[in-house]
Amino acid sequence: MNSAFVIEAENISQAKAGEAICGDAILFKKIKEENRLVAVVADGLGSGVQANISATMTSTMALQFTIAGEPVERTAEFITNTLPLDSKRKVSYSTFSILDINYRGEVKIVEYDNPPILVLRNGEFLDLERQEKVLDNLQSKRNKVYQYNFILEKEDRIIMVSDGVTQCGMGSDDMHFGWQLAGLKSYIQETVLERPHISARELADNIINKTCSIDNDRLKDDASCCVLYYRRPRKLLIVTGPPFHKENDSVLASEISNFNGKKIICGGTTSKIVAKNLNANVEIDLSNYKPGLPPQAQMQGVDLVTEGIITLAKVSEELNIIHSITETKDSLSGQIIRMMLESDEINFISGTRINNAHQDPNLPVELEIRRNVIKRIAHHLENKFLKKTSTKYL
Amino acid sequence: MKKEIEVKVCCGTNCYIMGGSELHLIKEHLTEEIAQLISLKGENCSGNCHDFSRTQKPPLAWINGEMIENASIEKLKKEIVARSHK
Ligand code: FES
Repeated sequence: MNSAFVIEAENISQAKAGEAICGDAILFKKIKEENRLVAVVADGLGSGVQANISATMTSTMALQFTIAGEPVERTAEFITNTLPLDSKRKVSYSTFSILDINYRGEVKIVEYDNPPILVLRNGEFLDLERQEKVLDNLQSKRNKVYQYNFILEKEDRIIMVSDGVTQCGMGSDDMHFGWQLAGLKSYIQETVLERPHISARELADNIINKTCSIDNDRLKDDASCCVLYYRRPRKLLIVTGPPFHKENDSVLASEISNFNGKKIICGGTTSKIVAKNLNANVEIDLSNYKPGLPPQAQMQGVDLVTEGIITLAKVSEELNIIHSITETKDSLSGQIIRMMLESDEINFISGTRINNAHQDPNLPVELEIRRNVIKRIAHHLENKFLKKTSTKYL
Repeated sequence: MKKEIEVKVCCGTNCYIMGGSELHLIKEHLTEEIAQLISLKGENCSGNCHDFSRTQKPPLAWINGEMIENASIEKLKKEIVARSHK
């Protein structure tokens, strides 16, 4: 696998209307040492708690067996024999798809009764050659699994859904047979055509939102979607504080203008320095000012300009609390966090100049605070959100 | 027609912490008639807050270029209303 590339893996599940718990389960595991990724989508029979248990057991077992390198026959057999029986239907049942990507980018897929996995490459879906395998020992009439193999290429997207997605809208006036795979496929194609760099998260969100809207916001079945996107890492640069030596002002400015990714400047004085060196303007924007944090500013070539230390302290505080991007607030700090969580790599450049230090005994403290706040932010990003970070002092 | 009044408020860290966080909302505290005359702008730290040779007390604001120390909504309001009669 091209090591400069990353796999962004995201999933989202929505329970059938009226159910508190979703009967689908999606699990991912990145095995760092092997540079390998295994993902499982399982859909338990029926809905509610019972379905959730089947699906969770199935996905957990499938994941563990796959990681351990067990042949698929054994995995499938073991799963079906272990699942508890449904009291009404006297069957134990959960569909599943297993996806296994190794360090060379070789993808192996095993599919049992789930909608087919989709692979989008250059705007078209791959026509994957599938091998059928009959599992003799399976105590079910549905005893076929399908296997696919292919090599991952840059910008590929892999989409796996449960049948709640492909069958949504079934029986409605304009869609007797539901959305179906064809409907889903053209929706994905249109979405990606419109937004070629759409993240895995957003694509998964869009698919599930669309599913819900087709079912008039009352899902008839649990709907889940898992999207993997093999892409160049998204980078974010956060600059805060003026450089210690004035000569480095231009270095800082060119670090910003040469950076390949999104850019944030946290700091009024810093933004002034950068603007001066880049011949740009900084304008404070009071148009949608909300008390709570100092207002943002606009500067050409920089995605977001804010005040420094108060804003960063707020970011650190909120990162400590939240667990996912969906919990971010509609505020400047929330916006910074969203930009961080949408990136794979976050690079900090922290300037160490103290404004008129010899005159103001309070300011070295500010410098220390800045350093600590950045350390804390980087710590959360690395440990809680598994991001890569780097910090440079200038 | 009455003349425009240019109000700038500092958005720097010091001024913000020292009580300047609400100053950007000054227009909401004025009568509509007077608020219409205001052109409001935010400024980055001007340096005045921590130059000890001539330290001015933050938060700082400027009305038609004239610096107001220790600015508060009340203080700005008074200054603006006074100027609106000119
Ligand atoms: S922060 Fe307002 S003048 Fe420095």
